[in-house]
Amino acid sequence: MNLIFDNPWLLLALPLALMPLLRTPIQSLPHPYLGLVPEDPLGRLLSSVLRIAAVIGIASLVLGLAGLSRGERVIERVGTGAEIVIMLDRSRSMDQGFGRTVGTEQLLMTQGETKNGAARRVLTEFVKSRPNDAIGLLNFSTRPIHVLPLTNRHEVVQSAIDAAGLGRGLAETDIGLAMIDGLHYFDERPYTGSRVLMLVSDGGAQLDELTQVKIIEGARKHRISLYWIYLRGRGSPGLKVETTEDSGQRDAVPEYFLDRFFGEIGIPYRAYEAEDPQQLKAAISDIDRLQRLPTRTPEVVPKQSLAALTFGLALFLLLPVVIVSAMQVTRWSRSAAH
Amino acid sequence: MVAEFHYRLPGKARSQRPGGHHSNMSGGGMIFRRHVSLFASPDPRRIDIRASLRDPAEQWWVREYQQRAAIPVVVVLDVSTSMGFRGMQNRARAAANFVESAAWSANRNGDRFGLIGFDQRLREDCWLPVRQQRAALEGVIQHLRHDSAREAGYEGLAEVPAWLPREPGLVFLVSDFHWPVEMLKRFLENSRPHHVVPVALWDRAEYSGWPNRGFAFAEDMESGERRLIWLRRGWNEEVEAAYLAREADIRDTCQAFDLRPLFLRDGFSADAVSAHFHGVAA
Repeated sequence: MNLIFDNPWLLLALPLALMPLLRTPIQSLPHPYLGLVPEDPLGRLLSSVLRIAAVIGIASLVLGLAGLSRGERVIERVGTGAEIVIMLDRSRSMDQGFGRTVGTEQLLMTQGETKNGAARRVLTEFVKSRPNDAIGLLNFSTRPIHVLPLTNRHEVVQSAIDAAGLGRGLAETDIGLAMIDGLHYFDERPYTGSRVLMLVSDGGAQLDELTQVKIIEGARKHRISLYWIYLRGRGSPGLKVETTEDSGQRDAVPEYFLDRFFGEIGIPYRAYEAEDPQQLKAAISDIDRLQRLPTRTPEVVPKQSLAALTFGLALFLLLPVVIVSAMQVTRWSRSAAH
Repeated sequence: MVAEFHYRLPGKARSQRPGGHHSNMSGGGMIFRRHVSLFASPDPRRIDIRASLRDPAEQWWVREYQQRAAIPVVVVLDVSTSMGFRGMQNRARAAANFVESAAWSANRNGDRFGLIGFDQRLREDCWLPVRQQRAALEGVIQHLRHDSAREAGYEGLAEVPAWLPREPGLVFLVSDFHWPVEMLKRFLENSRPHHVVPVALWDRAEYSGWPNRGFAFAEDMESGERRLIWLRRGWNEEVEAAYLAREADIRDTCQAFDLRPLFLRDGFSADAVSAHFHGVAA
């Protein structure tokens, strides 16, 4: 705890705090011989309490005037989890419901929960269940949108996740750019715990060579784990293509291509295919279970002014002095000749 | 107009100076004491012819009278800081009034008057030698009345007996007696042949003048000790009880010397002093 002062020279007034030990600011009632006046233990106690209160009160007042504040400091937080960057797809297709290619259901426009809504709800719970993690949020559509850097302020993360539901989806999906940007989240951060990129999207993408190289380099450099939660929409192809078509054709399916590419980077990678909110939840809890390693993250706490504390304390401690001096007696009740 | 009070010694004076007090000295007086032979008291003016004729031994008899004697009256005055207390009365003024009245009364009785002031030492500025003259008196009284430079202490009382006159007389010890009773006891022992009247100047304010509520930072006038007192109902009674215990202490101490102290709580009153000597009041 480092304390700093805005006006350190005012601390020169600090010895004033010792004044109550020398004199009490209350006019005295002269008595010829206190030896004959019985002890008043209550008064004696009150007297020492007043004295000490006045000393601390004045000291507190001076500290307050000098502008005492708790300086900026870096505290290290130890978490049981990871540094997680959530990359949330904000493309328009996320506004559609989950789709299951079963029977005629596909054709019915059953308006259930949208993929976006389900993802946000589950992510909210996920964030809540990992209070010690540093979490960053990146929305992406055609371009990546930085929402939050890695932070332990989960209320902020929660609000940011909630905010991702505002309005309609944006446009297309460019996972390549989003991946590169997501990796940049870990730039210039000490490696303190496991690092997770959590890609929540409902579609794949083809990546060009340059992007592929960048992603591979970044992923290996930052030693990340990658989880892809694939929200399967109506009519979307699955990640595992059962058909025995030749590889060239299979690579034409973006989802399949992306899954294969991620698997070949050489980092821990898992893909979860979620067709409904239950599967999504299962996937998230799976990640939750996997990423339970201790991490340490430094956090900068900004300067905090302690004015309210110091002045409040001074008021509280000096008030009794004021009350007593307001009720002080300086004359005998029976005094005539003067 | 200075008030006069009447005082007398409980016993007979032993002074040879003629004055107003009973004494066992023979000499010029109004009270017949006995017949002595002319040889024992060769004063032919006082030959009692009838007594001489009646005597079968035909001796000359002389009448002997009791002489009334003058005594020294000394006020031993505490001039310490606490004697400057102002409550219901101005204690310094009461003390000065007492001195003035005592001097006047002594003068009216034909007695000599002296003043010895003390605090932690003897005070030369409050000192009058035991004399018949009243020359220096006025100045000292003014000084007592208006003197504000007082000092704390009472230790000077120990030196006072050495300065008392050799002739047994009347000694008023005027103080507030806010010092140890042992001191009083020692003083009474050392000033033995004199008749000491301790005069306690107290003020009703100092024990029953505390307001009923509030906080008082009582400051001892001599030690400077400050004490916060939470005033409440019943506080005055507590203090008064302590003062009554003190009074009993002083009375007990004096009782051992066959003396009665005089407590003046409402300032100086000549009548109160006279009443004390006539045994009317305490």
